[in-house]
Amino acid sequence: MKLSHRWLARHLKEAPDPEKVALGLLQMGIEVAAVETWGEIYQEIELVEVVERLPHPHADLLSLVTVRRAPNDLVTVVTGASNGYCGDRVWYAPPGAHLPDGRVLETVTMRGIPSPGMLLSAAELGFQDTTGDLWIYHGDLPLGSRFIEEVGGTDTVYELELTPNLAVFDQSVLGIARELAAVLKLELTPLNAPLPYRKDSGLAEVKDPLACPIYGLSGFEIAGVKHSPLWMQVLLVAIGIRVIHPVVDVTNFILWDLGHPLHAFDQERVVLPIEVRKAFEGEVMTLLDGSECQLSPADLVIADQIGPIALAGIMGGQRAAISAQTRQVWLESAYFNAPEIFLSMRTHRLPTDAAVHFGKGTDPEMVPVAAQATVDILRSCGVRVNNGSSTIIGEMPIRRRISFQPDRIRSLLGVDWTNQAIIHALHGLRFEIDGDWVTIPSNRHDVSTTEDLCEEVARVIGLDMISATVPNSPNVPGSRNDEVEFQERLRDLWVESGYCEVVTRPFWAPSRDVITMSDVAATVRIKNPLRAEEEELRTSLLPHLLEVVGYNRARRDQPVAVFELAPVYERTQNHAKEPMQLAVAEILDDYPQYPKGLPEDLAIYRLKGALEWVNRRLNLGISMVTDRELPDFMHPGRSVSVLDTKNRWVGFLGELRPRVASRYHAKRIGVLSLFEVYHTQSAISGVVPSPSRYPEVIRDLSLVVPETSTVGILNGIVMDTSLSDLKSLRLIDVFSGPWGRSVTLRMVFQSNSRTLTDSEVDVQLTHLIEVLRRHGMTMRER
Amino acid sequence: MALLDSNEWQDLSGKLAAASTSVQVQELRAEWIGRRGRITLALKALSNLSPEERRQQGQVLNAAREQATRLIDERLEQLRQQEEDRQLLNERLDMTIAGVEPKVGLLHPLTRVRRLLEDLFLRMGFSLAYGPEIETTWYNFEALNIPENHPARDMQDTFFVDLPGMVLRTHTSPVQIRGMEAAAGSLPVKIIAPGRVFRRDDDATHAPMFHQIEGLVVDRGITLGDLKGTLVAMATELLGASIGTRFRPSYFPFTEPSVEMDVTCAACGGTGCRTCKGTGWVEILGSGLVHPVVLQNGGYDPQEVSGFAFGLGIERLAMRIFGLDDLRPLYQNDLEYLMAFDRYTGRPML
Repeated sequence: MKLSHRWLARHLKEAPDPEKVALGLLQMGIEVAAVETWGEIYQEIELVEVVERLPHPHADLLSLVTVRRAPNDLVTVVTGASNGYCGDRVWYAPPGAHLPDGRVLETVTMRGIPSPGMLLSAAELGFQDTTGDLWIYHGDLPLGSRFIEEVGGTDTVYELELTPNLAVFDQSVLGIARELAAVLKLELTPLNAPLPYRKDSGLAEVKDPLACPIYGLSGFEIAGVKHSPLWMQVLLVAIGIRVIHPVVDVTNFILWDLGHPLHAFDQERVVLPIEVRKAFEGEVMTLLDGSECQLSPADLVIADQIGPIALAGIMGGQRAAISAQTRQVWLESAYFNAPEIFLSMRTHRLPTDAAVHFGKGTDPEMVPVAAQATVDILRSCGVRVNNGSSTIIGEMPIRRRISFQPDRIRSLLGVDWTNQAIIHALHGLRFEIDGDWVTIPSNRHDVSTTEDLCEEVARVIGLDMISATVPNSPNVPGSRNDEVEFQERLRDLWVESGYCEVVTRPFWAPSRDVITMSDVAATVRIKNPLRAEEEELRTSLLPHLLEVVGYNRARRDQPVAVFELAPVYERTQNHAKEPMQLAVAEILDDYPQYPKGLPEDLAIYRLKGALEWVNRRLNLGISMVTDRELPDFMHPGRSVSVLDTKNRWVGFLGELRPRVASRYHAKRIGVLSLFEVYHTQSAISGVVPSPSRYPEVIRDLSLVVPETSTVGILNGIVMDTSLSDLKSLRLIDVFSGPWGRSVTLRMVFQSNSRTLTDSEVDVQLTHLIEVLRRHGMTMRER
Repeated sequence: MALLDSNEWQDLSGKLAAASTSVQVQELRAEWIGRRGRITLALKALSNLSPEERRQQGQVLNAAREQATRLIDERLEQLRQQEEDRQLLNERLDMTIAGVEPKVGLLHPLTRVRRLLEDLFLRMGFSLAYGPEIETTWYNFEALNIPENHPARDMQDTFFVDLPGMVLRTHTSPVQIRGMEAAAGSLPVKIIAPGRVFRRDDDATHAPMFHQIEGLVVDRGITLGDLKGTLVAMATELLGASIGTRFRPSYFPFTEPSVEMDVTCAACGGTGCRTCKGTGWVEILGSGLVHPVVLQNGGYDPQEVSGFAFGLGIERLAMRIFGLDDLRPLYQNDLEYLMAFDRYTGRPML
């Protein structure tokens, strides 16, 4: 909402300066989004007098008009206007002047004759147009005066942002003035008296008094002047409202002045009585903007005996609209039930100025006040108004009362303000306190509880006046739950392992699938996605992570190693689950660097090692096996399934098929996908062994193993042999020759109770070699 | 036997200096103090002298022998050092080559800011609480005093899903209700709820998915002053003791009264600039006393207890801490961008 400082001053006996206004607005919670000065361009527009008018030598419709600028400067400009003769005083914009429509004037040559600047019409100055010709000035300003003086000087215009609660009562200059009066302790200018409605019968009937508690209709005749008064035009133009016709301008003015929308109908086009009723099923009307409106029984309409003439509180219909020919007017001033208007506004997507006022709630007591204000303004500007018949239907609602609990206000705010201070603050906002009761002003539909009053008191006295304290609740240490703590550790471990955390949006669409996860859960679809490729919620993290790989890979040749720990979304009939998943992706391709890293062909061991490290650090108790079925996008020779302690399949690790990896601009991509992350954690609790005081004995064992065998099988055999003093077993070399596959293990023996002798170790080794031989594994000769 | 004169010593020193290998030095050792060395022989010859002379000459010769031994050992050590240097210089590396940095990753900046906030509130005695992202309209709206057709529903453009009565939660506030339900009437309720939230909006300062942290304190006698005290403590801890704070009335359906907290603008330090629209202040969070309807919906009697709640955007705070003006890159996951957050960023230490 725009607020003109000049307009505001009409409601305050002593208007504060613009800075003070801004401070007051801030304290009341009204956000000032912008402040601008209106009217600066009018400094450049001068009052001049026509001294000569000659026909243009080369154009029939143009004239050469010579004007006198103060003190005695003559300028000749070309004009197409049909008025402006010797002695007329008109407004002149010299070259360099700016017009409201954004034009900057310069000297132009029209049919061979240079024309410096321009003589102006009212429309060109942004005011109500009359004939399209020059705006002849009849006032008392001396020659050379600037147009800004005619409009009363510049104005400060605030762009206000109102929260929904403030919009209930603050969407008007009066509303803001009342707020400022309370906070800055100013006196308001009294409003005009209400219109004394007669109770003429046969004019109107309210069929739905719940939707329309009060309906006022007053008829009058308009004749005479066709212009709105300049002061009103200036105020409307300053807040960006176009001025059109006195009746329209006045209703716009009252809407923003008092926050009360009015509507005018052409009497000659209305067949009485008017009915305020719900629309019939299938009823249609053409609105003022020319659009067809399909009505339903949820819509409240103003109808005559032919059909609807207005969508109540939102927009008038074309059939009974005011036109230039209108002589007799029905002025409607009503009070509607806000939620009904709000619903219709939303249904028909018609957030008109009237609708956003009625839809938030208006002040019923304004019904007769606004009607009288309209008549007063029309009269004051010379429009002849003969009061005709009028009626008002419905009773003024009784102001609501709630109990006054100053102790509770103090205890909620944490202050020791006196009753007197609290009452004074509420009085400022027109609340009336009578003993134990507070009477709420008729426009404050937002107030119904003591908590609401707390806000009002705090606003008026100021939040700064409340001291900052600390809750005196008992001190309980804060905690994270185990599952979240686990997730944070998991993130840290992957970061420590060299992977960068990413955060992706959970929106997905099947059209983005490059890989297809088998047996995925049913998806949750978004009914109103922002874009087609975000039409559902993901059931797997891995595809997103691969897109991150591809995105980075398409930009630069750099290693990419990323992970994300986030929920996925699965539906089971009408319910949704949000299990956490972990996904890791890493490009394995050789990257030119010195010194060289792990060769591309073995790089997947890095990812596998990272999982093994995480597995140990967090006691996940997972195992990796090669004998389970894997997703078909995985490399069949370089992948493992991940099993939990109960041997359930909880994920997979390995390389993508190179054909799939190439879709993400890489030769080889290693991935890990882990579902049910938290529940893989086993309950095993480890005991850290004490260090041995005795020396280690080291033996390297080089074996030739069958091609069908694996290091895993070999390790298994060694562990199963239960060598009593074997402390650790480490693979130190693997290679293949014409004689088969060679595997070298480093075995470390150590006792906790004595120094081992070589012969003791050799006995154990001999036994092991014998066992291995039975499995076709022999000592390598050389 | 004549005393060793200075010429003889010069002879030894000169020869040692000239010796360029340890073999040459060992030869000199044999010549002087070896079994048939000059000093050794002279010592043997002492037995022919009178006890008096033997003692005198013996002292001199023993001193000479010690000095010769020291000179020879020193020279040997010198040569050994030179030889080692020669060998080591052969394995010289180009030490101007950049080192191999430990290969570690980095947490996402939003995770780091989230943890910063969580740790701060944990220290203040808040516990973490969570709720689902696919939320019922009851928890997301009605329970929070936002009935159907309430104008406030227009404030948050909601994503609807194809599950009856469910939406993607538009804020973390539903966890207020869930947190109170979980506390089941016990006091105090003191929780923060970090999480992802969703709104149908996508531009430089709005993402369709973003992160919030909700805070809730419910107990007997909680006041608006307590809210101010808690939030000022938070701002000071997060942004430094010199940070200015101010509170403005605002509106949220689930708090009454509602207030917003501003902090001094980071870009201009409070003097007014484009970032803060000339005011010197930027909004950082919304808060207020918990609305009686919300307390009731959480199972608490508003006549018995009161509470305050607040919600702040993690992205907005991250933008402030890291000086970002666009939040979209945070979700693009360009690693070059994400890894640029590896630098120390001043206060708060992240």
